[in-house]
Amino acid sequence: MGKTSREAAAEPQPSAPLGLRHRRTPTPSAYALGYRSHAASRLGLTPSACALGYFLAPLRGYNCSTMRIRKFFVISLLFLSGPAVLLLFSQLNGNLAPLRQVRDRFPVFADVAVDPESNIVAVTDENLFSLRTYDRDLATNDVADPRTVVTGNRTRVDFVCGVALDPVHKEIYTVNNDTAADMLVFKYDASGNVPASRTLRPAPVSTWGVAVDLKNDEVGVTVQQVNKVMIYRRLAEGEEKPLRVIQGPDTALADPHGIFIDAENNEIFVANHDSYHLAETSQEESTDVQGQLARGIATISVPQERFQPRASSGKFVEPSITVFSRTAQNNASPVRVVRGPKTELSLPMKVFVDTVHNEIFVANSGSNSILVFSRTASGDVAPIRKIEGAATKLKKPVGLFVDVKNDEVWATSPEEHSAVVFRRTAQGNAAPLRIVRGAPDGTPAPGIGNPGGIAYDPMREQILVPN
Amino acid sequence: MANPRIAIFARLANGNVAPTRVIEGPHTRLSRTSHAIVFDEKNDEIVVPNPLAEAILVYRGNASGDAAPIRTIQGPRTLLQENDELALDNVHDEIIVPTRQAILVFSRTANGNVAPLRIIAGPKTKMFRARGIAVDPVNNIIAMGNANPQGILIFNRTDQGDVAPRSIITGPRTGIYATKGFAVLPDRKELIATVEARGVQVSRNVGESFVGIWNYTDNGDVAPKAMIKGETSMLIAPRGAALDLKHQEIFVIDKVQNSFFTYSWQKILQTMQR
Repeated sequence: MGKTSREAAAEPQPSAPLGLRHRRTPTPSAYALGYRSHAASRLGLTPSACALGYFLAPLRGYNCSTMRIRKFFVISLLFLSGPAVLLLFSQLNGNLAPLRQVRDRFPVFADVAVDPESNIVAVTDENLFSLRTYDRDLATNDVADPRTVVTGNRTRVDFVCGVALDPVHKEIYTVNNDTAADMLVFKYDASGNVPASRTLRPAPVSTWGVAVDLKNDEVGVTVQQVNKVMIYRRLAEGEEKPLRVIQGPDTALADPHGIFIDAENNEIFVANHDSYHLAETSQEESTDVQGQLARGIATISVPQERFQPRASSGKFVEPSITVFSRTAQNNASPVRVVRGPKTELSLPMKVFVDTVHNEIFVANSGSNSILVFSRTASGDVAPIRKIEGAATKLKKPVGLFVDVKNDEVWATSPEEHSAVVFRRTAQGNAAPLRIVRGAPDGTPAPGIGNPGGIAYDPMREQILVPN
Repeated sequence: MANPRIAIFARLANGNVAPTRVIEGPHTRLSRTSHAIVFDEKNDEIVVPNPLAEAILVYRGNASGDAAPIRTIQGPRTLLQENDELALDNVHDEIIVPTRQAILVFSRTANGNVAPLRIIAGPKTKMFRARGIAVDPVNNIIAMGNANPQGILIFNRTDQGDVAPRSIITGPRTGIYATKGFAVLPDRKELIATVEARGVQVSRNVGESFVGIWNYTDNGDVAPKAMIKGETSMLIAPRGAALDLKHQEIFVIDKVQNSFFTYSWQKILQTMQR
């Protein structure tokens, strides 16, 4: 169950996971560290040991006078002294090869979006930093064969999270999350290491969700770190200012993730986690420094005003779905909030509104499920149905999309390297109709995403990595 | 991965492997932005920040699954803001937390809405936006990466108020654009820092960033005395670093590679320049 030929052609090989990560030709010193000559390795000698042996053997009384051995050492010296010197040189400069590395060699699907008219599904891959499209109706249990793979440093696709499709203009929208938080727009047929058609910089860091509103020609994004929703012109680029911003203590936004703009009913839906703090303007200035460092700005500019420690506003809140008027701005209160123990909301990621059947779908990562509510649900209400259980293959779902035309609902399971498809009306422990796999079934996932810290537990001899 | 969690791997883990244990779930109170972590060997505890909730979370060392923290530092009196980093001093039982322009020192056993024991803050400190922090409880220093000026600020462990750092490692010879992870070697009086080269998050060039080692006494524009650097290292954007001196290994996590690497500490010692 390997990759298909198209997949293999489109993707870098596992030994060079991105292609872009090893764009440079390895140096001779790299080869010197990694390889020994066949002859030397048969004797268990490193190149430097061979060279030293030639010079030192007579001094130590060894008989190196036979032509055969002499010839071997001469050849060894000629062919291996260069790498040996480079080996020593590289050691002196710390160009050390890792003894071990823990890394996922496969794409990890975060968000998903579908265009049923064009028969494509788009997924973001936050592990290998790629944006992929597949045939919507692909039915195989093997690793799926992508139509396109957008990846590489020219694309600026980074730690991507949200994805949305514009079926009219045939464009894919995606946002980088915790690095250079750009919103990138690509044409459907873009593939390879190609620049985006448009790039917008909504925030220095931590954009997560993206939604396109074709009726009003707008696009919306969420910004995790400062609890904000920003609405732009659909064609906004560069440093363009948003049309509207929703942010403030009355908004109930808390570590916002997924966003959906319901243009039919003039509402915006946002999925919120449980971490809250009151974001101040000064914090946005401070996070801008993070953004400058991520982009590699030569001279970092910082706010001149010194920031004195002040009372913390952090607290834990219940996860929620907040619903705003589509034209809400500033410190607007939501018109409805779905929140409370009956809702079973737990680390809700993507939220999607089916305006035909008047239902809200939520990728509920914390309970390995998809929750469905009435579109007008408010308060502490139970879901009207759930997709959950071992047969669903849902594991910490993040992305979600409802394809009304084909009566299907999609969700991603990052730890399974997969996107799964159910009937829109599925409930309970339902098996998926199809699975789009980014890795062979059963491939383990290290699950390391945009890591910053690492610790070692010497008692258990274990390594700890937070996301 | 977008899911908030702490993944725990066997020391010898290698390749495309799953963690042996994971702390994750709604009761953990983790957010997906815990960019620092400390393991407290003495008390068998794990300490991580949650900057989105302005909290410090403490778990049992063997925590697994949807485990709730055993202690949480959070509330108005804590003054926690933008608390991406932390360090632990298990000799003096303190948790050291940098915020935007301050270092807050809490009791290790603090729980709830508690005020810091000490605060280092003010214009003399030159602090702006911590980029990693470590404490050496034996030699009594705190080393902190700084975004502006870009470099490493070294304070006395017991400093308080508006104090100047006792030394600043900064300048072109240091090679520092942005630091992130720190580890200290009290016996050798050395500081290990991960250093991200300028623009690598965009270029994704392998081998420009490095892990550098400096002496505690270094001050000014001083090159590191040893490095892990080069294309063979596979590093693009190194972040945290941790040492296992028993097995003579160093672990380095890389933000762009979404992976962690294990290097021979002995080989690094062989490259010491001074």
